[in-house]
Amino acid sequence: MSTPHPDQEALAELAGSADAADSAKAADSAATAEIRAHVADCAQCTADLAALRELRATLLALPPIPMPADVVARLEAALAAASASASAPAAGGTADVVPFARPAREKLRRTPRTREFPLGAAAAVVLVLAIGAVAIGLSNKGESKRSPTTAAAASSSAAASTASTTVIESGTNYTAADIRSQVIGVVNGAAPDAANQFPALRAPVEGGSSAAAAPAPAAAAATSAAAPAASFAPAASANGSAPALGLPARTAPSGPLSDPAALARCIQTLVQKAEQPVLVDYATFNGVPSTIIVLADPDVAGKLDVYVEADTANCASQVTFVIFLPPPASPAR
Amino acid sequence: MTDGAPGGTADDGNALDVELLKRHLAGDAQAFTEIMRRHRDHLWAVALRTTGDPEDAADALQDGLISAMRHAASFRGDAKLSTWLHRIVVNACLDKLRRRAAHPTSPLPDDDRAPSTSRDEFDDRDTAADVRAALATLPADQRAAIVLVDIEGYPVADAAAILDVPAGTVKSRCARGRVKLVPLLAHLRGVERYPAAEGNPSADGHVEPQMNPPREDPR
Repeated sequence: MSTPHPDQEALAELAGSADAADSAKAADSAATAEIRAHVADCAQCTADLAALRELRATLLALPPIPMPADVVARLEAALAAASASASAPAAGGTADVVPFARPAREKLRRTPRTREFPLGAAAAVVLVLAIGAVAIGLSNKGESKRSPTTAAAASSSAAASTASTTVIESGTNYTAADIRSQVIGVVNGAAPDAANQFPALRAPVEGGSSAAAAPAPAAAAATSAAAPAASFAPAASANGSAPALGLPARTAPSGPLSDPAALARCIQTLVQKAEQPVLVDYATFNGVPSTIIVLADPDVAGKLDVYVEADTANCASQVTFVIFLPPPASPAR
Repeated sequence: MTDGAPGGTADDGNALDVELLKRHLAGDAQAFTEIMRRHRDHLWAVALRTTGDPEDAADALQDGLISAMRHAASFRGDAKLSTWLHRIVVNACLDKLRRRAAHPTSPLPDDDRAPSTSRDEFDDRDTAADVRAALATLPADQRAAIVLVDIEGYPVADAAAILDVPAGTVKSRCARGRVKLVPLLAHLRGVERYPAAEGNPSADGHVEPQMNPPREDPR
C-alpha cells in the first residue's frame, strides 16, 4: 500500500457515508478520496471499515423502544396538568379559574381577558390564588390607608427588609383543586407569623376555636416571630390540607429558583415590582417540580397571591391565571 | 408513534405537527398531547439511550415536553417540529447528565438485561442492553450523536440541528464514538457465525481484521 493507514476516526467517519462503490465521488473531499483509495488497496483498513459499517448496521437495526405505558401515563398527566393551568375550566373543582394577561394585579380588577397573548398561553404556569379576600369586611381600597390589613401589608413589607421569608420544601404536591387549602395549611404550619396577618387563613375552623376568633390583624401583625405554629395547625387540619403538620426541617431548596437572586428576579417579573414573599415552597404542582411563591397582595386587604412556577419555566410566562376561590366559611366574629 | 422514520420522508407528518401546534397555541388543550403521542417512541428511545437510565429519561422527557409546550410560540418553523422537539428533549437529557455528573449519587446503570443470560442467547433485548451499556461508556456528546445518527437514523444535518452544533462536529463525534463502540460490541457482529479465521493483528495497533461477508442491507 502506497499511503499510510488513515486513523480510525477517519475510517469511522467514512463508515457514516455512503459506500464507495455507489457514492458520488465528486462529493468526496480530496482527503476522503485519498482514504477511499487507500482502503481499496488495504485489506486491514477494508476490514476495519467493514467492522465500523457493521456496527452502524447493528445500531440502525436495533428494534424500536416503545415508551412504557407508565411513562406515557405520567407524561400525559403532566402535560394535561400544565395544559389545565392554561385552560380555564379544566382546573375544575370549586375554583373559579380565570386566565388573564399579566401583570396580574392590575388585571385582577378588570375584566379578565382570555388569550390576550395566545402565544404566551403555552408559557403560562402561574396561578394567582385569591385567598379569602372577601372574608375581611373592610373598607374599600381607597380608604384603607389606616385599615388593619394595610398595616398587615406594611408589616409584610417590613418583614421583607428583615428577610423573614419562610423557605421550605414541604413535599406538598399542590393541585389546582386543593391549592387553597394546601397553601393555608402550609402557611399555617411553616409561617405562623404570616398566618397571623391573614385572618382568612385561620377563619374556617369549625366550632370557632379561640384561634379562629383571633384579634384584629393589626394586633396580629405585632405578634413576634416566636408565635407558636402549633396554635394554627388545627386550622390547617380542619381545612383538610395534609402537609401542615410534620413539615420537614428546612433543607436546601432545589430548582432554578433556589438562587435568591433568581427568585427575586422571578418575582419582579411576575408582579412587576420587588416584593418579599411570605413563603416559598419548593414543591410540586400536579407532580411537576415547581416553586410555590406566596405573596401578600399589598393592594387587596388580606389577600394572598400564590404563584406556581414550574422549575423549567424561568418565569417566562406571559399569561397568568387567576383562581378566585370562594371565601372561607364565614369567620367567627 | 404514528410518525414514520425520523428525519426522513414524511413532510406531511410535519405539516400535521405544525397544524397541531397551531391548535395548541389557539387553546386546544389536547393538541400538544397529540404531538407528544406522535413522537413519543422516538423521543423515548433517544432519551433512554442518551441518559442511560429510565428514570432520568422520563424526568428529562417531562421537563423537555413541558418546556416545549410552554415555549411553543418560539417554534419558528425553520426546522421540522420533530427536530425542534428532539432538540429540547436532548438538551433536557444532557442537562440531566450534567447535573448528575455534578452530584454523582449513583453510577450509571449499565444495563437492565436479565441476570443469567448467557452470551450465546442473544436476542433483541440483550442486544439493546449491551448497546446501552456500551453507550454508557461514551462521553455524553458522542453518545447523543451516535444515538441520533447511528441508532435513530437521523441525517447528519438534522442531528446537527438537534444538537446545535455544526454538521462536521456531529460527524467527528460519531466517528470517535464508533471507534470506541466497535470493540465493545464486537460480540454482536456475529463473530461466531463468521469466525475471523485470518486474524492478523498488525504492528501498528489496528484492530483485528474480520472479513465478514456482507450482510443484507438492514434498512
